[in-house]
Amino acid sequence: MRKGIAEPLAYVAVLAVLAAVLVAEGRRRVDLERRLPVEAKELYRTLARSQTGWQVIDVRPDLADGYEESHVPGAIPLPGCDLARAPAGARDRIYPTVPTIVVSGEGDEPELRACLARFGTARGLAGGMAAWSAARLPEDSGEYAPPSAKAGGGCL
Amino acid sequence: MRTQVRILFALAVVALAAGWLGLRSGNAALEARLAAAGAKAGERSP
Repeated sequence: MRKGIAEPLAYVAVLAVLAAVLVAEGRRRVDLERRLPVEAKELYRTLARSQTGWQVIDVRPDLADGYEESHVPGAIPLPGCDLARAPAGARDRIYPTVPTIVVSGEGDEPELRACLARFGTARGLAGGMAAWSAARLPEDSGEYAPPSAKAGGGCL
Repeated sequence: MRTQVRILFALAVVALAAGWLGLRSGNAALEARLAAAGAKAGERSP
């Protein structure tokens, strides 16, 4: 009888070990993706064909001198990554569980990493808004206006 | 143990192992990209 349950138990043990290493590898993937910034042109291509619902968050601290002057189309302002400083219409459009691209000024600010950790899946924009502008990609300007569709922002 | 159950277990093991290997190779590629990006940033900074 004992011999009868030994084999399924062995299979279950192997499955449990494999599931554990799979989960660990998945967590490592999330961490790596968070550390790897997305290039401006890669982001443009992603947003242009996106059906996946990425949200783009602009965390440059000065709203008037940063976001309102120029921003990635569809980006949602979150100055200094502080929800209290976000415009009223933007606050309820920022979802921590949605895959997120965080845009800063130059892409290497220390507060950028802290902001990335606030989202489940998040990547920074390599070179920040400066790289986006230098690549001559489409830009919007002016105050944040929530999209009329249910998309949640982030679309071009 | 019945043969069908044994096959089911074996298939589950193979599927999980394949998923793990795929993730592992993907992660290795990401790590290489990260290292390359770090080296590039190091070149730029004085």
